[in-house]
Amino acid sequence: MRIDSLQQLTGGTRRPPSLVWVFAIGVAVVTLIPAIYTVIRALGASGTSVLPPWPLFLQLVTNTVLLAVASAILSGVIGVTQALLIERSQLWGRTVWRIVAALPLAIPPYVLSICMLALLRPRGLVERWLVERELVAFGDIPFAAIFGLPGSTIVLAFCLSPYIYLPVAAVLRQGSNHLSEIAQISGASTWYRLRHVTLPLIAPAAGGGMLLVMLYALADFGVPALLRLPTFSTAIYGRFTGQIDREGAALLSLPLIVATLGLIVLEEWLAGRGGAQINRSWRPRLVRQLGWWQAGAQLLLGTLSVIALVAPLGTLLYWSWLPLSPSEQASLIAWPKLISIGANNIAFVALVATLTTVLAITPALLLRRGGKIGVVVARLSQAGYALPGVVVALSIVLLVNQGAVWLAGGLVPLVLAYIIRFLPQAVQSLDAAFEQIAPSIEEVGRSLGQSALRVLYRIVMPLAAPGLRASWALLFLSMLKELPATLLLRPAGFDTLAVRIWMPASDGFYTAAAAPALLLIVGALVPVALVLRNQYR
Amino acid sequence: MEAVVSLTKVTRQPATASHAIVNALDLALYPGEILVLLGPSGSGKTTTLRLIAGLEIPDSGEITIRGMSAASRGKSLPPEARRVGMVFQDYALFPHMSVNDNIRFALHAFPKHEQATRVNEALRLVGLNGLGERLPHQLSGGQQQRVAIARALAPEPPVILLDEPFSNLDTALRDHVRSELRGILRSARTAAIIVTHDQAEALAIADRIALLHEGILHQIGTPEELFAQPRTRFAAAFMGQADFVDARWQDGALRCELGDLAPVGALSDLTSTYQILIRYDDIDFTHAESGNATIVERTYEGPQYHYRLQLASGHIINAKQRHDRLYGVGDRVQVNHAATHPLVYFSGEHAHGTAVPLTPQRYDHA
Amino acid sequence: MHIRRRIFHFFVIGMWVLLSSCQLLAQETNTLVLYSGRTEAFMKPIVAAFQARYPEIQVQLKSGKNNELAATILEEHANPQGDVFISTDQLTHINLSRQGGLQSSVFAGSNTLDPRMRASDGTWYAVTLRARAIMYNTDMVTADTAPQSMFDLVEPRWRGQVVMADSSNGPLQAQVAAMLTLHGEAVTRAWLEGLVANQTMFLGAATDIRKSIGSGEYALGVINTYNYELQRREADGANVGIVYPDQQAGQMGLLVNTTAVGVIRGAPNERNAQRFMEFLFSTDTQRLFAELNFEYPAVADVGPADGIPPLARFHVADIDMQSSADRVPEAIALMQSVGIP
Repeated sequence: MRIDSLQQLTGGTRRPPSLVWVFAIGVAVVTLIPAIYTVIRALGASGTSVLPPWPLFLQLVTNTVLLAVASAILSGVIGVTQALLIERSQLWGRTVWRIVAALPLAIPPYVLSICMLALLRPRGLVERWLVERELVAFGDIPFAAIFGLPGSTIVLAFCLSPYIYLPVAAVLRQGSNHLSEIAQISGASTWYRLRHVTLPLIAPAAGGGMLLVMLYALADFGVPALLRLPTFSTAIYGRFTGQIDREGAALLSLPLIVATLGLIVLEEWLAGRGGAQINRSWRPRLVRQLGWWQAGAQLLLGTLSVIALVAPLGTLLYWSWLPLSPSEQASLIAWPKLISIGANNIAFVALVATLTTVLAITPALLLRRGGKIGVVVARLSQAGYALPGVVVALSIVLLVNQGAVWLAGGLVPLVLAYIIRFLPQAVQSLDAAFEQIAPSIEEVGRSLGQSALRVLYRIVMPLAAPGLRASWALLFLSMLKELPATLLLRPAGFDTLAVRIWMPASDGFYTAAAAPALLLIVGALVPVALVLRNQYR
Repeated sequence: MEAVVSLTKVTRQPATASHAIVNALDLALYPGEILVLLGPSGSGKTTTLRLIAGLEIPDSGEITIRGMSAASRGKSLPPEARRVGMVFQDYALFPHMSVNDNIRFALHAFPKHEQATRVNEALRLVGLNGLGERLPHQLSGGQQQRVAIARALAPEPPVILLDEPFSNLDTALRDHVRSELRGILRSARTAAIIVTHDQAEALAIADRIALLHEGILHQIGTPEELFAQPRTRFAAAFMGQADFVDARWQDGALRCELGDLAPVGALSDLTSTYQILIRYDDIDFTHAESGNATIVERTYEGPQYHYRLQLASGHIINAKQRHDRLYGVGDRVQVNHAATHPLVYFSGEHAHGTAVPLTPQRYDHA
Repeated sequence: MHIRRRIFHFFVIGMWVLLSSCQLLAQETNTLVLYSGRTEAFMKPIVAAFQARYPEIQVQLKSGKNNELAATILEEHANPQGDVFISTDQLTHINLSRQGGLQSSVFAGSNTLDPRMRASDGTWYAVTLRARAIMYNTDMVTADTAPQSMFDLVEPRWRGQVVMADSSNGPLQAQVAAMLTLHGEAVTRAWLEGLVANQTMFLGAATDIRKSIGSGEYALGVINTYNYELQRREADGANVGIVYPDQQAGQMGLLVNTTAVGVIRGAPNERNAQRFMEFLFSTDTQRLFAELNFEYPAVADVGPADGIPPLARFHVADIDMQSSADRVPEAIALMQSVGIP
């Protein structure tokens, strides 16, 4: 058993320069402190705060876990099906479907919930339409089934399917076909090939995407709140807003932190998965002839996009046209003000996304080049993964209150919340971008006499630029759609589109939520285009 | 003459490996010479190169470059401080920079006004003038390699390291590029270490060859020495087609199936069996009703046929004949020594000495 | 040419910075920051009316829940950001005042208000009144069979048919605190446990509650009185009825709570805060509350909207607000320990 020297533990000759270490450690500290502080406060929560009684606690656990698992599985099925049909079959209109499959990124899950509620709730648009035409009577069809777990799962699965579709499609596009061709030559049927060759090939990408979906579902607040599913996020939010003492919320955060930490450990353990094999020599892909199945494929993809895109967009547009009842008028905002809020929101998010991307560079570099210690530092900076939006907001509030009261009420807590919450995502995608650069490029740079820092600056950064842009775009999208932390931390007079959607919608004034929702989706289209461009370079 | 690069008892064993990749290696590179590190995959030659470049740190031993210590006892000079040029197998040209910028990257330490001249010099050296503004993806494989070489040579380092420089090129191109590279290195008067697994390349380009196997240096010497006087059976087999025939000391001579040989110098042991190293050109054969061998296989190679002959003892040896001398499978032939120069004989793994055939016979085929 | 692209990037970023700094950091000269625990939609017309009266004042409205905002006010004590705090129940104000979050304020007409409707130290004033009532869907429940008391809701015949607010809701917290004061812990706990055992649904939004009764998802629920008026006027789901509960002799009576307002201690825009307080209690505004939202105005001269029975007609529970306020944390803990989300 050999004990590696410090130099080896910090990455050997690929070790990044000290400046990178300093920054990365700084970032890790900033992101870690709120998390630790929350745990400390939670553990110290005295008799004023109680955990819910066992039946309710159990219900929270069941709901949260089931929501996470079911959403991941369903979105996995949707994403993989889409990827297979679009990249490995002779589908008509492939270019269009590629875009359509990625578009759900632009629609926040709570917006889809609102639309689904409006359409499918009892006495919603659909039931009323059916009753008016005397096809059914009120109460015949159990529309109330959309509340709770079924509706929440469906909404999250459809909104998050791009997280699986995009990486799986990337693998299928670039992956070598040798295995599949050999299988075909040796007489294997399509289904057999699918099960034994294609599925193992996409398993890492799909698995990674599903873990992301699970983490997101664990953390999500808007969907379970709207669809009346009590989960940890909604319960923590309820305690945070329902009581003056914050410790009750901190206490309830502990199980959620443990669960997400467990998921991250699981992800690390499965991370032996290699990246996609990039085939240097391009060859025509083995595409499956569809024949009769073409119609079926089109129908399937069409149905999926109807649910995920057409229904919500249609509902939103319909609402924008509707006359409003007086109570709804009250919550409407004039278009000029709305556009001003939208522009403000986009500028803010763009700035914070840029800041987060820059902050994520140093931990991302350490992840693969910094040896074992580097991995630890990088993973610490991803502490935010374990804290859903509600909990991040809570921890910042606790911390600011304790040590930096002069920050309270300003924008800094909100910016900090965004950074902590989304830095892990940035580190992950930057890592993927850096991975694309062959080590020999950096090594040759250093053999030519440039210091490691200069090599990073002049060689690695420019080459990773497309990946950086895509990472920024995904950050932008996430931050634009963010809800709970924004609700809890925004200073007076600071509005985001997400808040403008939530406020009326949570009070049931759906129509007033239509305009900001449409504006948000429009604002999200540019980053989605960036993501698509990076995917199909 | 002082060595440009010297390695003393250098060992490298990564934590994940079960044995040392480079094992107590002693090596020296002299000014202006082309040293080839030759060996099969896994022999440690690329690791040795990376150790010299500073891309890996030795676990023990010392490396000096131009007399200054580059690695010793836990301290290691980083790559950027070592002033060695390196050409990677995949060329590693910066894809986002033009050819000129790629080369200029290496000249950062030179004053600005000199850089342009040196870039042009480097391009002229490799025969790529006029292509300075192109981007790497606009160049052919051979051109990319030459840019990589130009970039490595531009700052005039004392030594340049090349990792399998010919493996990415088409066979037809290789000979041409090989002689070009020799020319470039001679003109630049730069010492070079080239890593390859192809012994034909090594023979063609090297001033000296260092043969590595499983991290250990088997032999170092001129190409002729390694080819004609291998010190181990591994070296003999690696450097070219090698057959071994048994020989015993009998009645004053070393007797083997192909004829008798006279040992040069004394035989260490008169009773044991030795193996004589035979290559194609050391033997000859002709049709004979009562010959000592039968042809068991024949392969057409264009200018010649390659024959495999089975001796009475059952051993198979290889031989070639010009294409116009046709023999058939199953033919009976008489095969014997044809070499007039000393042949190496082995006992076990190691060479023990040389012996000269007593009656070399070359057949005159009409 | 990557230099050009570099410059372009810096230009774009520079524009963003300029744009956002203009919007985010620009200090409005004349502002009023309102922390409102009331539903945003209810406050908007009031704010609009105030802005019409004082066009030079920029009003920034931060909506949230009572206790969340109260906690925020306490946290910001070293650097107060808000000027005025409005909540949906005065108990929040009582507690906040006790913890030093509010400051005393006096404005024109403040001493003409009912002394029971304001703090003796002037830190808060009640703006409107509302009562807790039971609303039912007329298609599913008739006036005869509707429950007449809060305690009837635990009866097995209402299993799975009752909807009400969750433990973060201000008026419900006030109701439970009041019940604790009136009946003690054992009775209140039994009632809450009964509600949970009866599969009562606890929702987060008041509008959700009233609409779900109107749509028939639930047969009945506990609401503030004005929600009945609002639901009655909906285009759809207007088939609702109301019960003013616990009116019999010996029963506790209508639980009345009030919305309250107070000036935050250290308010940055005190002058504007004063103006707003004055505005809230002007006859016009009080009438707005009555007519737009069907609440009972606190100012005695202004009566409720037409068709709304005045509170004097009912047996109203006699609650000591101070002791109720004391028991709000207990009420919250009790609800949570019983399993109300």
